[in-house]
Amino acid sequence: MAAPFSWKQCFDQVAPNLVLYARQLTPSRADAEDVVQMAFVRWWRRFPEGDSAHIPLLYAAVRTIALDQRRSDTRRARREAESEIALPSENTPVFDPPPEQKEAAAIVTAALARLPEEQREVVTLKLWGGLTFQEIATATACSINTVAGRYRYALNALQKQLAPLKDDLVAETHGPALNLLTFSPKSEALT
Amino acid sequence: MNEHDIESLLQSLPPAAPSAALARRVDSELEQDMQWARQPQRRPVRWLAPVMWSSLGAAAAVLVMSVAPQAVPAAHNRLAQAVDMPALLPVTTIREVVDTQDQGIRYNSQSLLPEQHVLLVSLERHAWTDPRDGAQITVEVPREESVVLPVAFQ
Repeated sequence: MAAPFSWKQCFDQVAPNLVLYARQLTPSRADAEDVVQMAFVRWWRRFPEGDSAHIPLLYAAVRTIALDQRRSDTRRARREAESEIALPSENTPVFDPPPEQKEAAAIVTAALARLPEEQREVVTLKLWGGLTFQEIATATACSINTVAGRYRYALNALQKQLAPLKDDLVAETHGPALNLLTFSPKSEALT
Repeated sequence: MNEHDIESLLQSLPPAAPSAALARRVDSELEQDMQWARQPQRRPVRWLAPVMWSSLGAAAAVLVMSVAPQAVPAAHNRLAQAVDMPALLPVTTIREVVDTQDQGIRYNSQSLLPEQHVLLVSLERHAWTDPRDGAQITVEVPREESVVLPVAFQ
């Protein structure tokens, strides 16, 4: 059994993906970070050993809190009024690519933004969150067929949007970046 | 560009790192949890509820002799275990007087002085909360106390 991880180690590994996912559900970066803060703290209190088997629950918590926040959007305004900490700009980029991929990142960001939210959500959870379709189905309270269908529709839509730029984009990429959490191996791959 | 190319392209883009303020805020919240857990145990505040017979004993020293029923020690043990849990915060301690019974005036066998005997039936409710998840623990302790008050015939 792996040694328990500190919250910081776990946070450093999952936070970028969590914020990326939260940003698909919230209007701004600041809102997304609020959501991630609440979700991570709740999750860590419940699973202080940082077992990656419970990561899908963390994404589910992000989703629940983000949807709750939509209903009551007063918290951020209050926190901004009370806090002197500088908040990240609303224009903060979603991705942090190396310089040679900046253009590709901008194009992909725009393409993702044009997807319906439910498709964008599934793509984010699958590709960056590393969740299986079954885990995504559980987190989003949808059937696995619905999740798989949304993923296919999303990829088809992205394919159409990005096909004209194929040569430029592929030239900029250096192959897939593995996004597995290193603090606990995850072997399941359901497609 | 097939699906695999799309997936590879998307996965090659690392998400932007969250702001440093986010990590500080999480750190602050989790550190607060640790402070709760580390804090020394607090004893529930004890206070006596107003007693109907206070007019009799207000001017005199009150001698209280507690006659605890058999169930009370066990309840005390449970109470002590709950209080010993360092992560819990005491919320309320309430003592509610359920009944009072005047048992009359008796004469002390040794001092031969008159004493007013009063049976006081009460219920103590102690509540704690776990700040980490908001869970509440409530313990009710029934009490019967025989209160002996000095009597002065004038």
